[in-house]
Amino acid sequence: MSIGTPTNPEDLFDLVSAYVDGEMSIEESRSFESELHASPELSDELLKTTELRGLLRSNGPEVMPAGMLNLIIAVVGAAEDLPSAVNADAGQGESAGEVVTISERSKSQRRVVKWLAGVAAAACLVVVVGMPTTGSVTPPIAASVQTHAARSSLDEPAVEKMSAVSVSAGFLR
Amino acid sequence: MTPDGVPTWEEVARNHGQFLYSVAYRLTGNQEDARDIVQESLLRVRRGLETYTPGTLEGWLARIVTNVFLDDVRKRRRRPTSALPENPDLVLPPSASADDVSRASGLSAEIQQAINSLPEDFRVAVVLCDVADQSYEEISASLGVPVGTVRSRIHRGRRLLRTALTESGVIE
Repeated sequence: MSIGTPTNPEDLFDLVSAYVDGEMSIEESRSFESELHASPELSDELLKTTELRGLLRSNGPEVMPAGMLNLIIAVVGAAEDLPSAVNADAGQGESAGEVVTISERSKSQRRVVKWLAGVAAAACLVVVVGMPTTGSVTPPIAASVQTHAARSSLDEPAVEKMSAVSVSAGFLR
Repeated sequence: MTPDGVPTWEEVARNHGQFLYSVAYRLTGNQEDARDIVQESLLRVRRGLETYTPGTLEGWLARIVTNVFLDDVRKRRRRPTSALPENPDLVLPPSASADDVSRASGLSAEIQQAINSLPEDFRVAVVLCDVADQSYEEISASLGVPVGTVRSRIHRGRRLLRTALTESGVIE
């Protein structure tokens, strides 16, 4: 986009980055190059700007810590599933003078995630506690445990085995 | 991907989350704020995808992440969140940002600190140009300012950076 070559020296210096970034029209570039030949200060500014630009761009992107993206996706997904709780906050934040800060919003979303995790944990606990240990279990865990216990105590008493282990492990004096 | 060729918000998150984070980190200078910015950006992506027309996705994302950052800066100015401590001896020294800077994996700590020291308008222009690799016209559209202003902000931002890096001995 051409905006003309400025006559003010300070404005001329402001064009150096545009020239380095290739953001000038052909006409502007020609005009700027003629100024460059006439001004050692401008040439020096060009050199320094090129060096800095190279420094800024020579480094790779900032790498996201492991697991952060999955956490963010979980939070945004939870917000999607619960429009009445979180999106209402977000909507108010944008329309009503953006009152809700990002950290407050994040806390709200984290509370939702914690609540969901709590519900999931409680459900898992109910399933584990409610699992039968005898009778109709498939495979028959209780019966299998009893069989192994009987086999292990055929040769010598199980208590003697345990006491030997306890002594070697330093549990008994 | 929808039949219209528009990605879902989760596809955007998976494929461009790193880009969003990199821009957010350069703007904020620390992990925690960068994470919040990315999270808010993806919420806006999700809301905005219905009206998004396929084009330069990273340009659109750069605009969103920049707006989220600038909104946050304005909010913090209006309503500072940190109250003055009653007992200054009990306050930890402000070393968190320095720690974050030293964890930076891309730019050196000195360069990130120099970026952090820029006024927001200059910082946004330089980051959009040198990190997000946006054209001046795209930056102009994102910030709602003329291209001439973008030229000026980028160059003055770079000059300030150069001064800061010269003082810290990174460049001569």
